[in-house]
Amino acid sequence: MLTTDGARLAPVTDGDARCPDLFDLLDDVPTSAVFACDGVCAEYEGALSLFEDRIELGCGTPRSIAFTDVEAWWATVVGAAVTVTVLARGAHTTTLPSAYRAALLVALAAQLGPERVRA
Amino acid sequence: MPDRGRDASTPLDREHMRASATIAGTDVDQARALYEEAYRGEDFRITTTDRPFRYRYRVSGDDEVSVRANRFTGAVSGSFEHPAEYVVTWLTEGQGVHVAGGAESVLVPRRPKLHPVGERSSFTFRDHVQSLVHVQEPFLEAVAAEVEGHPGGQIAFDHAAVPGSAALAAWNATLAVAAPVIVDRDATVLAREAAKRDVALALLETFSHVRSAGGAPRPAPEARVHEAADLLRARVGEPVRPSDAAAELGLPLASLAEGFRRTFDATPDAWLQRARLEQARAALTEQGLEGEAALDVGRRWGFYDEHGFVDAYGAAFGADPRHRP
Repeated sequence: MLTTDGARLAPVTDGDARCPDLFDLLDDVPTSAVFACDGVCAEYEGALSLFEDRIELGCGTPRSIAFTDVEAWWATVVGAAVTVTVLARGAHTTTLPSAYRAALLVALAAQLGPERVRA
Repeated sequence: MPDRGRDASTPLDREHMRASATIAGTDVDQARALYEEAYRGEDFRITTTDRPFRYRYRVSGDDEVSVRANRFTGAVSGSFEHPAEYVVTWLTEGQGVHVAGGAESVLVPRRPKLHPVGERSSFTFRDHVQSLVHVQEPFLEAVAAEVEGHPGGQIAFDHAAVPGSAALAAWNATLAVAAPVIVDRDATVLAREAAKRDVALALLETFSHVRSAGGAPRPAPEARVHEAADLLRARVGEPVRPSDAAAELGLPLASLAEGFRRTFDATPDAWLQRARLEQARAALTEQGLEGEAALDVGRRWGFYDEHGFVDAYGAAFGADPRHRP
């Protein structure tokens, strides 16, 4: 049984300092968000950020929607993409990689209530 | 006329499913859902440490080669599986332990490690920053068939062997120039293809494995080799691969590669690179380009690393492409 005991995980320090850190190489998302996901591929480009009081959908200049305005939301998976629709005085959508569907659903449900029905 | 599967006048589409994503948050349940789904994980247990919990996961690349990074402030343990891909990983911060096949290995910071394919592994990580390179099985195995005569199927890596310092230095040097091209949305398809291939070659050079246990493959007949060369030459400006020529001619890639070695004293890809260098030289001569403009021509022909372009050009033609003859 594995544990998270720090002593057992004591670092061994004979690696190569030239080994690159890929973290610095890749794109970023807003740091103030409690949850954020973006994705781009040949077929779509999308972004979703959740803050304490609002959700932002879309890239560039995202659509900002206060939680109090959200009437319903749902997510539809088609192939390798998941489209999130938020109903708030109209339907607003963004499309993201379906690999992150599970985390998206957990995050959205935590902030907006169960899928389709505003809590 | 044999059916070669594709009209030779049709442009070759090698725009693979490219994706780039960042996902981040501060909630333990979201993190568990993300990582269990992304890594076919089971029984993930996440606890906080003396720092506020936070995770950030990034991925960029295509459906053949992708680079990923993971910053995780917290402790996590569980089990996961990489079902059909070769994954190299290393830590740049924090601590981690893997257990695969009953053998436990502590991850040494900044020392890349190759995961066993298709084998469920247990792990424990704590307050870590992790880099990963994912290479899908068919892509790596095709490169291995071409350069090593790999007969097909999964490559038998020796996971107990520790790569030497020279091999790791070469891996690091390759990643430093190839990874930025793989994640660059504006890179040309030829440059991305070359960068992906360089990563695959570096993986094969770095991690010990069984090379062509059955001996050298039977070479393709010389006439078929010339036919394959003609196919590659006709598409030299496209992201054509030796495996495309092998498929169109109905030849095993390893046999075609052995035929190229005997006929041209080069692998099919080395032959293709030479053909692209000749195109670059023709463009430089016709347009009278030099300096940075000459390097741009090299990039258009897939030579994404300017030092690599200058070296390859010098080796082929005995001249520096940046200077007019």
